[in-house]
Amino acid sequence: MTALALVASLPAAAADVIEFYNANLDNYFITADPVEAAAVDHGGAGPGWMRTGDTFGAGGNTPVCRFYGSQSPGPNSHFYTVSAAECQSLKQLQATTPITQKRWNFESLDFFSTVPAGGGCFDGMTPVFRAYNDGFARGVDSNHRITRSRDAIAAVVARGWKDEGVVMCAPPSVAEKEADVVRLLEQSTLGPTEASVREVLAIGIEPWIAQQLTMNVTRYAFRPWVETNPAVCRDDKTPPITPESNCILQNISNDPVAWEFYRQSKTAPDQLRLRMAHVWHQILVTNGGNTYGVSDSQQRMREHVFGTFEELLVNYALSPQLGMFQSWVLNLPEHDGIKPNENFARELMQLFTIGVTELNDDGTPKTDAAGQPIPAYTQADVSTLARVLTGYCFPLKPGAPLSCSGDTYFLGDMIPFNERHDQGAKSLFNGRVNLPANQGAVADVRAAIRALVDHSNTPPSISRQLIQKMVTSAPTPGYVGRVAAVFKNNGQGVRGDLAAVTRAILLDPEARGARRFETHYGRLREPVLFWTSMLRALDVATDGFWPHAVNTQSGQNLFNSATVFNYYPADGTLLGSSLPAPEFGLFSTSEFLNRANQVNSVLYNAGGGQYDPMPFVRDAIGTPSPALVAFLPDAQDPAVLVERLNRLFLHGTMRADMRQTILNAIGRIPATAALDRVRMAINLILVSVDYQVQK
Amino acid sequence: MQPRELELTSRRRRMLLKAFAASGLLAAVERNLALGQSAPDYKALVAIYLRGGNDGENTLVRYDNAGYQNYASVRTPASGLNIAQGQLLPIQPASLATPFGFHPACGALQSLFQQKRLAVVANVGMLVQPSTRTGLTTQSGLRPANLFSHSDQQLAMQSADYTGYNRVGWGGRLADKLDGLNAGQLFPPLITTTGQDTFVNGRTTIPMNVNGPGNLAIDNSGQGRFQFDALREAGLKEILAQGLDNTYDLAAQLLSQQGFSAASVLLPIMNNAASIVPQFFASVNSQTANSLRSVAMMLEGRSQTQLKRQIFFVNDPGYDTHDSQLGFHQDRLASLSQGIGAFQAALAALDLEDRVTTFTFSDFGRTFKPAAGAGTDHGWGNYGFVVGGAVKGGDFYGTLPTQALGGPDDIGDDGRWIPTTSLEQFGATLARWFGIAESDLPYVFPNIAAFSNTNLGFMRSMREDAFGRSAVI
Repeated sequence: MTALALVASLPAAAADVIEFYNANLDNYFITADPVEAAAVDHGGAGPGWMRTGDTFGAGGNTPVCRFYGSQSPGPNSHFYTVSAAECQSLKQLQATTPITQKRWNFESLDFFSTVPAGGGCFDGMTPVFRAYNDGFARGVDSNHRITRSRDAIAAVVARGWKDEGVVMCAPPSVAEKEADVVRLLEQSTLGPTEASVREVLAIGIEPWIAQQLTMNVTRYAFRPWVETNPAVCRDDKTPPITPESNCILQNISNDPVAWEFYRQSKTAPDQLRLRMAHVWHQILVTNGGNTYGVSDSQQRMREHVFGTFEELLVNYALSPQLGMFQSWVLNLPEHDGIKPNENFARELMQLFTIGVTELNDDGTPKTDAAGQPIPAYTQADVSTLARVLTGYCFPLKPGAPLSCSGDTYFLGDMIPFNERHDQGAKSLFNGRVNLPANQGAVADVRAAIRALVDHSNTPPSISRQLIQKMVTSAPTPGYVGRVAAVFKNNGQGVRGDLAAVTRAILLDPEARGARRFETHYGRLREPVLFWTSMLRALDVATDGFWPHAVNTQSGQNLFNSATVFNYYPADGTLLGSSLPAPEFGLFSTSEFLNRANQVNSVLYNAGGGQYDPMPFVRDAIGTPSPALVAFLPDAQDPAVLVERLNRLFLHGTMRADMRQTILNAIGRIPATAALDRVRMAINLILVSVDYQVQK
Repeated sequence: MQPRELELTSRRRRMLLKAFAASGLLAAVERNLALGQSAPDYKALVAIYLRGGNDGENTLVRYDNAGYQNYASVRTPASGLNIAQGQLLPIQPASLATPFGFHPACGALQSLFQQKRLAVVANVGMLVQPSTRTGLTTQSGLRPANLFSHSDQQLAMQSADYTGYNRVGWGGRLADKLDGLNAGQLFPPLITTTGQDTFVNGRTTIPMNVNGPGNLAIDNSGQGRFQFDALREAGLKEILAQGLDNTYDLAAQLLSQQGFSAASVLLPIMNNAASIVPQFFASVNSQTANSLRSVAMMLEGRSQTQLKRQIFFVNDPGYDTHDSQLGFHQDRLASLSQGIGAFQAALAALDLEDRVTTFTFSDFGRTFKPAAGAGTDHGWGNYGFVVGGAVKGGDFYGTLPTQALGGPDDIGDDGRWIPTTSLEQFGATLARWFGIAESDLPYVFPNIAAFSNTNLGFMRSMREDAFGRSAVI
């Protein structure tokens, strides 16, 4: 059965198996019984037993045999096995060994687990490892460490214990399920919060996705177009600020829409939609310097990210914002020695649909007989598509008569005029696509877009880019292929069903499973998501002015990318290698210091400068330093504080040495300075490369 | 094509970790920013990348009547692209019979040309091998891959690789070969003032990013919590030195460590209150000018790095003028020309004119034929500029294309000129002056063997006397 079906059929973990360690004995102990665990906590098994923090899930189709030696002659230790053969042979050994000699004594069938297959576990199940202290050879009591933590096994192996490999397959433990939800929220929202983690754990990942896909759309505030009237529109900083005097900013700046994005990032319930709009606006790029136009084009994006790709593309292509950005509004057929503008024709193919080279269904490049990549289109195709993209004009200002006025106006779709359109026949892709003469601008443009949507390159090309901006920068061809297959056909014969594609990306084993431990997995958090995650997780109140200023400095001036190639190129790689790493285009030697300084600065700020409410920002509150009230009670116990932040920001993967460094630093701050303790922990975690790279 | 694995070689890591540890020492040493105390054989290359494809045909226009009439017959006033002959800034190249005119915004470039400190290299671009219109039409394998695509041509021009697949830049490869000239120095020889472009990636060199003094140190909180700042900085550094497995983590760690360690050297250079550089930039203010000012300050403080060879990269954005070209192009060229003018003036005051050579390159040129909307589309061959005291300026090098749509130098009918000089020939001329060994040129320019003349002759030689004083000959 498929891995996904297997995951769905697993019983939920009944309880977690808890690990204890006794430093005096150098022994480990596990139990799935919370009553037994509590007794051990209180000294019921003797002094010196401490929880290690390691746990794994109990549950499966096979009961585990539990053995105990004895206090004397020993071993004074427990042994567990899910293997029926091992259990049986130990029972036989017990029967034939005198009680005066060391032997394992069968105690009971204990918690449930699952036997490994071929030395490993199916995706969705957690391998549990075992190491043996080689006690028999060393003449000490035999002891075993049974844990899902690879680090834990490595630590004892370094002391001379023997690695016995995978001995059980466990369902996700409570800690693992929470970690998976944190990761899901990092992939599908603008940042996890403790509340959203609890919510998803309560209703389940798939139901939560289904809910998100049908939620109401959070809207950017409608901004009317205001005629720029010099008499009234003096400037946008001198009070009284009215809608009229604000018209300069309103008409010439993308900033108010960006501020609104950051405000909404904190509170909007349709987080998946907002995240997908953020992803898509970096593929179907436009930029703009006027508020009402940017607001309109970004709202279009939000409303179409769960429809079909063709609807999204057509809608976006007809937005006057894009028309101006890509030089295709007012484009004309060849005349007077002037040729039709090729800007959008090229980028529509190169960036928005098929890409530059022919692709296999899994996104890998096709090659010709000589092993060379095959171009997906020629210059002739660009010139021909430029002829298709002629005849459209700006939408009409209120009250204006129907004509191609050339007056820039950004509300509504662009309007076609057949008398300004190249009505000749057009042939693309070596005759594969033929547009007959005289069918008019609308039919020509729709047919050309349909041909690009139907091109076999489009599913893998788009799927790969979506995965890169959500989950990992270097997806396997298998992952790309699985998602592209859903793009091609959602199961009901629909091509480009973006809701289905989004769901497929998030539920794929490569997003949810063991590949996350591989060394080439992950993606660097881009500036915008780095900051929205902080705003959300730490409940930082803001009117959006400061985060937009910071992100602009870091290279993400929201909605105003310098070129159609996005804030950073989609094909960026890591330090001259061929490993994909687009977001590293915005991470340099100085960006590390920039993020470190900005995190500290916003935590400690006492107002002033960019933290203040600005008179030209509607409903301004600035960005006061966050009170972090939710975390203050835990500041008294640094270990508890650090573990809580570990779960929220690092989904439980904090390295032992990093934990120690943070505890040492906090330990040197008096307990009375609770806020400073929390700030120190946040400073050290958020700026760590462990956090900067989303895994 | 074999994918290239990330070379987090132990040598690279060891170098960086040593630099990281040493940064404490460097910071403790008293800074002496006296001018002119660099090693006698110091040289620097400054690369300015005109991102988006600069329109060469409106940057330099034929100024003789026949030449200008030809220009105006294609770039007509009605097209919205025409620049009136009376507005052009005339220059007379030494070896040409006819004059040219600079775009009206290029006053400083005109002056530098007339002072023989600026050379123009004509029709430079990406080539697989020397090519003709007939040859390219019949054999498509002779074209650089994805010829008119921004991303591919940026990669190609910055990596000197016509396949567009190489992610290592020729600037980075130049820096890789500087170990001999910069013997024993750990400070990064390659600095970018903007983003992580391909040009600055080396195989063993990691570029340092410097975009102003703001991001060169851990700031204190400035809110009266100073006692925690040292704790925080120590904690950050300790975590940054810990072992990691994930490749992306490791790369971010390398970049972060590099930032920390080099910052302690750069910070006093960039914050030098006694710098003589800012006055030359007082009347110019653009991203390009600001980048060049930072470069000039780093050149001023070069003795602190103890390097003999440095490479600087400046990204100048905004040249993709698909529509309404005249206004946008005016802005870009004004910014470029004024920035270069101020930079050269600062170099003169620092007595570095002979030691610093600046050059421009771009994705491609643009179509000679206008496009609807008063703009141009992506072209191919383009002008390159080389500026400095060591440049044999006041002249054109290379071969000008016949300016005819559909003519012998046009790959099609829209005026996309087939380059007559390759990027490799242009770059190798610069690299030789810079001091790269002849035997290292194929490493820097993998396709150099396809071209016979790899010294275009626009750089002077230098002769040094026994006291380390140099003279340009």
